[in-house]
Amino acid sequence: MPLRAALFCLMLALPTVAKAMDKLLAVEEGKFAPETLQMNVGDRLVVINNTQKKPFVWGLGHNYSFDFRSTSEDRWTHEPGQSLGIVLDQPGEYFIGNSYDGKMHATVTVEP
Amino acid sequence: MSRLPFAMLGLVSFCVTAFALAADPARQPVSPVGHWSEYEMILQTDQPLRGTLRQVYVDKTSWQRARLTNQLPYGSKLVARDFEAVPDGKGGWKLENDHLVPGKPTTVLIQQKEKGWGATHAEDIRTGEWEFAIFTAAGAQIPVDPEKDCMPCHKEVAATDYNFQVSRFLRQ
Repeated sequence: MPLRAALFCLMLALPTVAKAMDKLLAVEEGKFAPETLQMNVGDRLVVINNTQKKPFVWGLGHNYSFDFRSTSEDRWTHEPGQSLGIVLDQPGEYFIGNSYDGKMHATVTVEP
Repeated sequence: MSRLPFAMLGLVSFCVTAFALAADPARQPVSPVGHWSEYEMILQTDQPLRGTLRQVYVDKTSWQRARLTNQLPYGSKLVARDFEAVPDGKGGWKLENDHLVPGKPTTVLIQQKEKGWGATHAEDIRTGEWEFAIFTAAGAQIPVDPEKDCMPCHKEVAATDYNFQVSRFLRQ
């Protein structure tokens, strides 16, 4: 019985100790994949460049905006094959774009 | 009577006019440095992976009109003011309200829209009636070729009036 009670308590506690996760968004030729993505606050948005081009990937939300520049290079964010992640702590809907392709976009929703 | 002299005169006139337009300093965006009270900061873009940030400003007059009409009027000056972020002393970056904190200013970029601007650029390069300039944080102009350094990317976002974030932010 004590074991059952302990397991029950553990099950109740699980959601609160759930670890932040990596959520993957890929840069493909002319598009992001997937084009919509759900995350939770504290998850990390990881964008991987699956092309041989050098995109400039940015995100615009109502309360928080960001881009993936990680070096002194200002003209692009990702080398071919490179993967970069940013933790999103602000809930809301984010428009994700690539400065070199105005038709590419994805929508990332961060749940509270 | 030969029409050649008239054609030559027309060609010379066109070239002089085109040169005058291209060299006309009045068609250059004005430096916002030292005039920040005329601008409103509307958003900040963090670059947390390298510890820099960009604050985006719009001149107050245009922003007031834009919020009423949902479009950027003639006279709009969109300014990106770049900073190094303030370190937190623990290997990361100091945060206030979940945003990076601006430290040393680095660069100022501006795009300005005026009626009739942009006509000196070829149609496949031109970005509407917007012109571009870059300044140091102290206000000295940095020489750039907008046709190579600015317009190709901004042309990609013709649907949002040749800017990446301000028009989209306006509609949010």
